[in-house]
Amino acid sequence: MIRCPACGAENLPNSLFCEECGEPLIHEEKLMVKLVSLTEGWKIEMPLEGEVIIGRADPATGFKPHLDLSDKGGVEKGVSRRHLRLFRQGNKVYVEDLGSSNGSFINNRRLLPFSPEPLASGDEVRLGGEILKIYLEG
Amino acid sequence: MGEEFRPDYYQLLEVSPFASQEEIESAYRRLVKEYHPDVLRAFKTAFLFRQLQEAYEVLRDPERRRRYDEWLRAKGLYPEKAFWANVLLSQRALRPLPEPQAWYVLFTIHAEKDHAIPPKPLNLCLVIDTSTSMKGPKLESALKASELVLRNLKEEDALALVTFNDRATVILPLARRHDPRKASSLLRKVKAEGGTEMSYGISSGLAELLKAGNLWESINYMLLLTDGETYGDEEECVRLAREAGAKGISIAAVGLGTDWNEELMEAIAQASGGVSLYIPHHKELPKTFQERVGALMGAVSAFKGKLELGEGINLKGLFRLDPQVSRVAMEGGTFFLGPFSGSIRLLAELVIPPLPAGHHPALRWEFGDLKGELAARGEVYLTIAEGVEGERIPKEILAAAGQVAIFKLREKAWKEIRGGERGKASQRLLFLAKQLEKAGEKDLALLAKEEAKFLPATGDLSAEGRKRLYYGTRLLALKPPEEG
Ligand SMILES: [Zn+2]
Repeated sequence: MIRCPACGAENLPNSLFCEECGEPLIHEEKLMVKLVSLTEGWKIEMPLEGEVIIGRADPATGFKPHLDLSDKGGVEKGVSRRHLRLFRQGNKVYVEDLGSSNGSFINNRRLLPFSPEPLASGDEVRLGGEILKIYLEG
Repeated sequence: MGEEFRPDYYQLLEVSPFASQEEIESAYRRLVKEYHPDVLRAFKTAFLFRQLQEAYEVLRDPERRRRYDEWLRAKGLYPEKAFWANVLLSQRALRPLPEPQAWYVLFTIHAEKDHAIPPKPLNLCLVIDTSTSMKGPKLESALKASELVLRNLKEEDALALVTFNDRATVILPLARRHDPRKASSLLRKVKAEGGTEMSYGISSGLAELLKAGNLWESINYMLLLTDGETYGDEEECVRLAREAGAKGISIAAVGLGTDWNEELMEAIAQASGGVSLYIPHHKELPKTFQERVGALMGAVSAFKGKLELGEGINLKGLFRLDPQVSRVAMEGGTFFLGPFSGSIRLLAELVIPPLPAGHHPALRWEFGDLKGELAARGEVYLTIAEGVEGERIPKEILAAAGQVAIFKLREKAWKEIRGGERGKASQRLLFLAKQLEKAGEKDLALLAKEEAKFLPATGDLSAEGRKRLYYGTRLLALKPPEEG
């Protein structure tokens, strides 16, 4: 079951509106994600609407990730074009490796490709040789 | 032969079986953008992408498409070129869960653009309350509205007029081309006196409509007008309405003022595939009658629908959204939708039991005329797959489910009031007020708050508040909730 944030009633998973009070259950509060590079020192903040894909742009196919590490030393650090994504499901944020060549790690633990894991604010996520500290701000 | 097909290729491409090759191409190009691994990721993408490819590979090739259509036809799944229902799913795939989960299917039933079915003539009966309370301007307006309807009918349309109080009187027997002068003089003689026994009016109106003989060849409709509560024959009214619906006769149940029973009028409408309407002031009657009858002209048939659920799947509720939100009354999986010429949206709220990964037949649907000649049928498959996350809910589904959510709050409040649960009902109205406010319906929200305040003491709503909330909450043009 999922709990309605407005009235606390239990609803079936994937319900769109609360049966008790009519509150939208998939409506997402604005969430900011702050990424701090521990290797390069840069900081970036962006809204997490649905998902954020981290990787490198591919001019050949026109693919552009939400966060492009091409000019941030991404090639040297072995960051794949589609390396990692963050996404929201209800109130939870997940991190998922997208089958990258050099793998992704969360707090030094390897992520299985295409197996999302919950992410907490302050977690350390490694993409190849790039280490990011990720903060979530509601 | 030996080709393997799935029955839902058109649905996967979100087109009708009558789509041109160009429409199929452009639907594919649109969907491919949504499905493509650059846009959506993870296992689901590949899974759904494969399905889309499979459908497209068959439908893009006119020869394979022809074979596929033959295959559908052999299974009774190819429709006559008349109607189609677009099917939209809240999520294309669900994760396997150890507990039941919610899933929504939105049907949009519409006439095909260039269908070759001519509109049918009207077979119409006006049933007018002439109890004492109708005396004066109310009755005058009702008779004026009736005369206007009569004048605007086409030559091939048939009309009857019945009045009722403690009994029913046929003023104009069913006929085509009434002499307007003669009809006017008959209408002028109508007086208002006596009580209200609505079932007599409905019953007599039905008898007139049935005189038409072959009901399949016409659009059959009763316009029922009352301004008061009927005495003790509520169940009979609904029973007659159900009988009417089964014969292809729909009832527009119109309530004038605030002293009638909205739940009864709605039950009559639901049972016959009609609508119920609230007219605050008698001056609006001519316009309302004209609009109702106008909406019928151009209709090609009365409609019915049928839903069959896959194993273990439950239907929590079925709602129509056009012309207003209402619950669809179902009997044995069948329901009446009445005549329409534009389109009708239906939202099915489903409960999916724990299921293993794979494709599951979730729903068989059928919409068509009562005679069963013009039917569109299809099957909806549910995909259960691991790793399904973050899929965007189509905004059409959010808008429909939002309207239904408000409708259900109102419905719950009424039930609680009826059951004497004053506190609960009052809280429910406050919830309703909050959602109405969000929807930009300030006046209705304010009204709900006011009523919530007095409800604990009085145990009921004000007469006007009751009607305004009941009907106001069904006609909202809600925007889907903002994203992000
Ligand atoms: Zn709630």
